Amino acid sequence: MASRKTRAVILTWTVLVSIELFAGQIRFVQILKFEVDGKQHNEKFMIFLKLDDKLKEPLRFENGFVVPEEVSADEKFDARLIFGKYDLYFESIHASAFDTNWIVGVDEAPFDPDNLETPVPAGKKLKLVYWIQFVPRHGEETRLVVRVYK
Amino acid sequence: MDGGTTGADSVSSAVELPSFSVRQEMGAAVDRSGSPTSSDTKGGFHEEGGIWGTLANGQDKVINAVPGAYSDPKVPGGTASVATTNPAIPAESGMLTTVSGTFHVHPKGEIKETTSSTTNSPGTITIGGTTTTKTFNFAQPPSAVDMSNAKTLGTKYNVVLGARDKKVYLYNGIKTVATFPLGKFRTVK
Repeated sequence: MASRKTRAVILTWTVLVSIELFAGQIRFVQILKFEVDGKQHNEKFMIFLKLDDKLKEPLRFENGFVVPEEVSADEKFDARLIFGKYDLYFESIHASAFDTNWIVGVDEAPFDPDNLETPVPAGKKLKLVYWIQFVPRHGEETRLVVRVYK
Repeated sequence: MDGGTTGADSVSSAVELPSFSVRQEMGAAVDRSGSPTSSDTKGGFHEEGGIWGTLANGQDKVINAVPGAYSDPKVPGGTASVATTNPAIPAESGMLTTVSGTFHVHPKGEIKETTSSTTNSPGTITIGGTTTTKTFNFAQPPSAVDMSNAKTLGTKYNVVLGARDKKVYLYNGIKTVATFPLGKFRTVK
């Protein structure tokens, strides 16, 4: 009977071979960096994607995740990203965003002047601005910016 | 050590803006990016750009490119691009004896949505009584793809004009070498 170590080696080898065989079909998103007030943070993070009305954690690697098969073209998905003290929720991310890499940013008061261009709703105060910048292999970068008012 | 003067030509890091006439043309591209085209019916959702350099007689010349197609900022990795070396006026192709660089506009278009109001949204560090808005827009500084293209071109610098943040970015294949307010870029002589 194979030892536990041998079985672990065989399992790892099988997984690697499987990934190699299907590499053409696997999509990855790399999170290139997390920025807080313009400074890079290298904290560990968690990500959940809303699939079938449930938040599920995709297969992860150190600085990214494997795009689940459920993410198909022309649909929109929600994502929840947790890093440091931040728990960020993004609605309506287009499926094509999962073919790009991401930069995640947070801006707290005092806010970057670029984030103060949008008028604040009457009676509200800006509490937090956060975003994902989508970095495609081709074409220009776009952003999904969320502003939280209290 | 005695004080003295240093000629600009001996300072390798000196960045000289394009000539006034060239900057006027670049400014006009910003205006066109914000104006409707056949595919971008509202304006603000397509790129404009081109190349600039000198003619055989030494005169500065801008060759504007065919406008980029409409791009939806809600669809990342989409169609926001302009082929800066594809002249809008085909007869201008190959006119430049020296190409100084490329320029293009990052559009100002935004799509804003109020996503929730007075809800306990599961995505914020504030709890209850919040209003959350989301905005889809185009990043304004030079993109990773812009930098990569600049590296290939090897020009001294290229120019991105941010139509929304009203900043002008001079960049090469490695980094942004200077930024300048768009308003002053168009008017300073």
